[in-house]
Amino acid sequence: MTTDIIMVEEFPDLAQTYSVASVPLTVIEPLENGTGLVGQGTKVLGAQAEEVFLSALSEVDRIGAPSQDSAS
Amino acid sequence: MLLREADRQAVRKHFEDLAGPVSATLYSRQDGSLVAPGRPACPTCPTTEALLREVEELSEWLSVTVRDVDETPDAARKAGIGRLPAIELSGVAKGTVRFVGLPDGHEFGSLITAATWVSGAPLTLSDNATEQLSTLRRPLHVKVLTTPT
Repeated sequence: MTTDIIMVEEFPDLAQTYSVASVPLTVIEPLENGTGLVGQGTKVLGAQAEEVFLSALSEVDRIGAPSQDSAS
Repeated sequence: MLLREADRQAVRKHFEDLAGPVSATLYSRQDGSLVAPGRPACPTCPTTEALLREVEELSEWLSVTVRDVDETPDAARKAGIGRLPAIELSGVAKGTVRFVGLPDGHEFGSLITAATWVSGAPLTLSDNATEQLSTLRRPLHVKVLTTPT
């Protein structure tokens, strides 16, 4: 697992990509070639408890084919 | 100096929990203010390097390597680094933690804590969390979008 802590103020394009309205905002994506596959099973969370975060990790993990987009 | 003496003492104290060596690789651009087509500016690169150099002085377990992406573009590409500055922390712990952008303010504390985690220091995860994480089958990318303050 790769975790990026991103100072979003420096990268407004990311704020736009993920429609960031407030921080912290956590994005979970399948990892390929060192980076997340944007929009391919992407799960976006606000500040959530551990249980919700773990559940989201499992949900993205279960996504097999890139075409199965479950962005929420 | 970017860190106050009180900060330096606090970081030294925190680094007493390091369980092993930690490597911090900074992907940066030497002349961060120079803008050219296809070469975006990196105004926070110099400050990030200066900050890391100060932190490196506070523990013999921490080593900092600076990679200029213009000189070694393949290294950044291989690591999946697309934005600068980026600090990649690695140690004996599984996984990689990266900070993208200048980790100041509250995120400086996150940087120091993350260094402790990747060193192999015991985590404070619940048994349930550990069990769930052990069932993951594919590599995942977690991005935490935040601000330093």
